[in-house]
Amino acid sequence: MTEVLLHQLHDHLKSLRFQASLLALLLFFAVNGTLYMLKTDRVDHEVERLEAESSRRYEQVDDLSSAVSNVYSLRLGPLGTEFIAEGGSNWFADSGFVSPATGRGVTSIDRRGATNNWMDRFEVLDWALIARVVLSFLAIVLAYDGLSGERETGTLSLLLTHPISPVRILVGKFLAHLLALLAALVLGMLVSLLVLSLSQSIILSAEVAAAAGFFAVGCTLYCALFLLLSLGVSALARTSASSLVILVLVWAVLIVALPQAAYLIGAHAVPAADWDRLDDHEEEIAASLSRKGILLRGREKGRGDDYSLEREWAARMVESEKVEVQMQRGFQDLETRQYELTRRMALLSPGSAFQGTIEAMLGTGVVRHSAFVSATWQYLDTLRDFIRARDAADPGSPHILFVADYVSDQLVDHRDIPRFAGLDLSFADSVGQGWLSVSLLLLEALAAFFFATWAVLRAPVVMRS
Amino acid sequence: MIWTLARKELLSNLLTLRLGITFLFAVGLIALTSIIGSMDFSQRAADYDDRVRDVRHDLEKATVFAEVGPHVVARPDPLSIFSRGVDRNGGQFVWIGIDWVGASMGRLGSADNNLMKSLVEIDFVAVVMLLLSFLAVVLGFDAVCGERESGTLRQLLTNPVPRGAVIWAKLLGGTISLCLPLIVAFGLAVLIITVNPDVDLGSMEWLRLGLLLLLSCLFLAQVFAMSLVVSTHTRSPSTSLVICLFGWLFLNIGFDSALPSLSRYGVQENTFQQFLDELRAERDEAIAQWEANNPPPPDRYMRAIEVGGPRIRYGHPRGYEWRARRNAYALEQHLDSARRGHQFQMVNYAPLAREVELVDEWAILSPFTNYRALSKQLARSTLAHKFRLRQAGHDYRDTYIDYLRGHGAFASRRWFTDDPVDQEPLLTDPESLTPEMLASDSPFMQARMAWVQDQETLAAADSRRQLDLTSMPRFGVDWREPLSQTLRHMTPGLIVLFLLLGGSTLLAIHGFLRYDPQ
Repeated sequence: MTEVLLHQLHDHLKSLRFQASLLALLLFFAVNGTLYMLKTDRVDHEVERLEAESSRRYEQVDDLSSAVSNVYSLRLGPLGTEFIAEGGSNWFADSGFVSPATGRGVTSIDRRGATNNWMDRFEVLDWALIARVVLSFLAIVLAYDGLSGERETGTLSLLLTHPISPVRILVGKFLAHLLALLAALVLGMLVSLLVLSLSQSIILSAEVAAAAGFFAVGCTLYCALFLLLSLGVSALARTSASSLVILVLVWAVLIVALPQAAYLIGAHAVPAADWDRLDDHEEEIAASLSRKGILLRGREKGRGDDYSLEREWAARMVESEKVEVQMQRGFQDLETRQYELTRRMALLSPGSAFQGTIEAMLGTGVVRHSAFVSATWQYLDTLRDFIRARDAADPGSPHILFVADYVSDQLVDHRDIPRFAGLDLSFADSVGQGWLSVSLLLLEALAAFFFATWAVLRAPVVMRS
Repeated sequence: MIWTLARKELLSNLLTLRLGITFLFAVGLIALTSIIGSMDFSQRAADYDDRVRDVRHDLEKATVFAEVGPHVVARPDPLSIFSRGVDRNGGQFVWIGIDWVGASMGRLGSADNNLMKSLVEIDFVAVVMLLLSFLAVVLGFDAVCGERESGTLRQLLTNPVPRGAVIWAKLLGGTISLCLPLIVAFGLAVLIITVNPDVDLGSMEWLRLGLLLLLSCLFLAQVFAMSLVVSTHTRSPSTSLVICLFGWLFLNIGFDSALPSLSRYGVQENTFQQFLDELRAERDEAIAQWEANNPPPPDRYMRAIEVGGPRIRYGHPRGYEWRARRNAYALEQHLDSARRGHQFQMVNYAPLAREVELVDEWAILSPFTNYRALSKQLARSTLAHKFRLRQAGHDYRDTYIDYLRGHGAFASRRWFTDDPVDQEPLLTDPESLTPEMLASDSPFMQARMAWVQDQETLAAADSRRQLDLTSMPRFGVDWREPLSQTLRHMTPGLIVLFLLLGGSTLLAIHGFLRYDPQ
């Protein structure tokens, strides 16, 4: 087995195919490094601007009333591993907006960073894309004639005269291909890291190293899947050429066409969220309250009857808010579901399973987005708890909660307001969310192994004429 | 002679497994994109109808000029089912505003789902670009060197056939065998979309569709010829295959993935909002200055009832007169700031629009992306085409503003009220009222509010309040790009396509004439 391995490795290093593959990977990773070097610069400015904007919103607060009516903004900054897996961070929401005021207590999430809506939908050249498309293609190109080639030249029957089992030949060849490909991959990754760290776009920290490590693990599985598949097909195919044609076709359909087709199905199977209904509801309630004469009369005028109208108003708004919160959560859920269904459909492709695995291990993508959505709702509760406690401490307040001007008059130092602590997304959580992708990738790699073994065992040793 | 050889090529190609499998995949994917594209088109057509109905309804309902908000709405283009481009990413209608920035482009239907923007979707052109082009490579890479290896080439050349005829036959046979599945798939796609009653194809659309088919055939012929060049310059099919496959990977998927990213990261931050804020502050300052110089009559003359939107009723004639004078000044200020805002927007949007343009311009560097850029132009789904709508909307806005000026709308009380001239105001003789009577809970005011209630019932049946918009100019320009202009824009891409096709053919012939069949 070791001999097969060494022999194959030696063959590789001097073959045109391997050299071309190495060159291709280096080129792609160099382009990736350059692109993210350019991007980091832009993103840094943008983050600075948005952070300042977010801080300004806190600094506007001077008393409890303004703390109630203020709209706070939560920031979801970049992870720093976007060059490995973008995870939609070019398009996903990067800011949350929360107001504790009753009736406006719904939170919204939005994208404030620069995007270009006119751009055709496209994928960003991150490591995950290079691996998903280029690496899998190279695995096929390297291994498509692994057995059929030897059969065509007649060396297979020669090899089998030695006392080793066909499975050992398969494993030996597989390991040789895997080692060669991974060596090329690691070289490529180093090129990208070199460009990025020399330009000071990233700092080589333990996090980056861990992310790169996870990426390499995912790639090993993914490469293994395609190498085994190629070796299996090559054992069964009549000629090397037909083996390659079948493999690349399967690749083109599975890796490129299928995820794009999944978009069509996902986008149309789940109805689009009708955000206008939320505004309609808000307007309707406001109009109905003013028709019935339930109004906020001002602090002085309302004092006469102990704010009976205002209390009524607040009670109605709390009811209306319940409906609106439900509506909004439903819409947010609908958008996530539309996206997740698309990704689920795309899971028919091992490329999407790989993408999902990398995103889960790096804690990015839709996992992070969903966590951010629930964090904004939690933060709303935190803010309201803070205001409630401050208001309760003042006996002179009307205690009409979360209505500006009807809470305590006391001053508030904006530094006391609890800030958003950032996302706390543990590795176990994110991998748990992406379990389907991870287990599919594992299963597919395992299935490819069994397929290759089966194919090798029943493959003809000599060419059929 | 050529025909006999071409027929042989054709038959041997058509019987292969590779063609069969690719054909099945391509037809399946194209059917899927056409069915869903057609469903999506119906949705867009419904959104379009809804919006047109809403705009009509709003125009009929308007009783004061400030309420009239005309729109220019673009009917969705059925050709975009074949080549999506930016057809859905905003730019389906143009909102004509007075105090707004010129004319801004919007998107019909429900709001975009930000999550979905990160995903890519497939269309007819993508299937041709990916699968059928791969088939072209697969048929071409061993056309010559494969026959050499199996020995049939020598056999063929022992016959008294000129070598030129052989290569021409290979080109012809290969192209026809590629175009057959293309035509079948295309026919299926056209059938699927014409079954949809919402799709209305005019003669120009049919012509464009025909041209799209022709373009696709030329594209496949070009890729085939290029792989034939490799085949006539290599000895073994495996070398030829590696070269062809890497070429295909780099030029197709590699270039296509890197291109938008490359143009993307050069974009400047959008400072439009900041500029707009400053512009508005300046405008409001000027209006405030005018108000300081032309103080309004005392507050009691300004009392009026707001009845929805910008409409007011039951104001005092002195208050109305001052409001009309203020409008005459303020609306000109608004127009001026909107004009400057529009100019800035055009300049400031340039980086974003430029980014998209760059993708299409640089597309010429690869035959694959060049094909897609050309097909987007044929299908009118480029950003440049969206900007035509914007320009047309902006021109219409000028016409509309001229109409308003011609009717003296800015300086008329009809801008903000539909009260007839003889309408009694809420406060008939403001000077005689004491402050106590003016308090909102005084018996006097409550009596007047009851009077307003009665008047509102009368107003609902008063035909004099209808705004006469019969002479208002309607938007009626055909803003879509004529075919001649489209072809002119396609010229550079077409030249590259023909140069590559012709050059590859010549190179393949040249290589084959000197090819050693041993």
